[in-house]
Amino acid sequence: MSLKVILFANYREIAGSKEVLIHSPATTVKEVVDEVTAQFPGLIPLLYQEGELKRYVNILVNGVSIRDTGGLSTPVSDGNEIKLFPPVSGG
Amino acid sequence: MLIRGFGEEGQRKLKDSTVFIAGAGGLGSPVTTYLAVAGIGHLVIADMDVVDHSNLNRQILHWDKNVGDLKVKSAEEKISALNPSIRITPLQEKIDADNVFSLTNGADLIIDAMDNYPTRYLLNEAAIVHNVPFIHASVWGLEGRVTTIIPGKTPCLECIVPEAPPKEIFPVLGATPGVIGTLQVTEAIKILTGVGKPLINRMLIYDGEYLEFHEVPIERDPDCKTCSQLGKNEKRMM
Repeated sequence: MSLKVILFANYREIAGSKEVLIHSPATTVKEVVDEVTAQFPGLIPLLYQEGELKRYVNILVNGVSIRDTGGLSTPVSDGNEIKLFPPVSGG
Repeated sequence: MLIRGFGEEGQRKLKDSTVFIAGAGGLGSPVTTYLAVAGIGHLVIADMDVVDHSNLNRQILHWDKNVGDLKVKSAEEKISALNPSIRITPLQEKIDADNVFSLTNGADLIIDAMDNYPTRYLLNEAAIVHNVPFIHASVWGLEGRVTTIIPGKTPCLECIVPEAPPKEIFPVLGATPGVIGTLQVTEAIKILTGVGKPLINRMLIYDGEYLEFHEVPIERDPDCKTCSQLGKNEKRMM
């Protein structure tokens, strides 16, 4: 199964690219994010606090927020596009 | 204004409006400039800082000669020359929990041109208390975000960002707040005149690095400590 993860702002800086392609048997958002953080461990403190996804991190699967679809347990399937947005603060 | 839906009545609405602009920096510069030339009758501009040389890449209201000047003074000088027909109230103040409600009192709309979430949350509360729209935006590098918050009808800022991200020194291309600030003004003018459909219940993400726009659907948090008690057209009592 292959999925595309699109990163924004400082997540993109850590990964050094806009997109990360994942080829794995991942079935949930959590497993996909784990694949990404395994490649880029610098993302872990930006995404998680004490093992929980930070409340201000927005994740969309094919444009739908995971907040209403089961959070990190949201299922994913082949070809899904997952976007990870941090809030940004500049003005 | 010749644009469909505006006309003399729309221009009169803008002339009769007061807009509170929180911040005279990267976002505040294009926001103030375009609101002024649109003919908003009264602009209230709040900023506590003085102009620093490092601001000049994006804060186009402030020029090299203004380094060391109060930003609100520099802004007033430029804007009054640009449109002498409008009223400008410069406030050299740090927006805090004690003054946010009085500073924003009387505004028809509040524009977020700040660079930190603690102050944004105060402005969000003020918008709820005064029951006026709050146009939130933020920038980072070549990215920006913008959404229009209507108290009681849309998610408030705390629904969207329930806790402040860590304070950071943010990189920013000068043109990024130019793009986002002009989107904020577009929203402000639409709301004040009743034209079009505002950017509600969705956060627009501008990705300048790839010149893409994305949208994040946003919803009210039924447990939001700031706005969950608000119903339609209901004012929160403080």
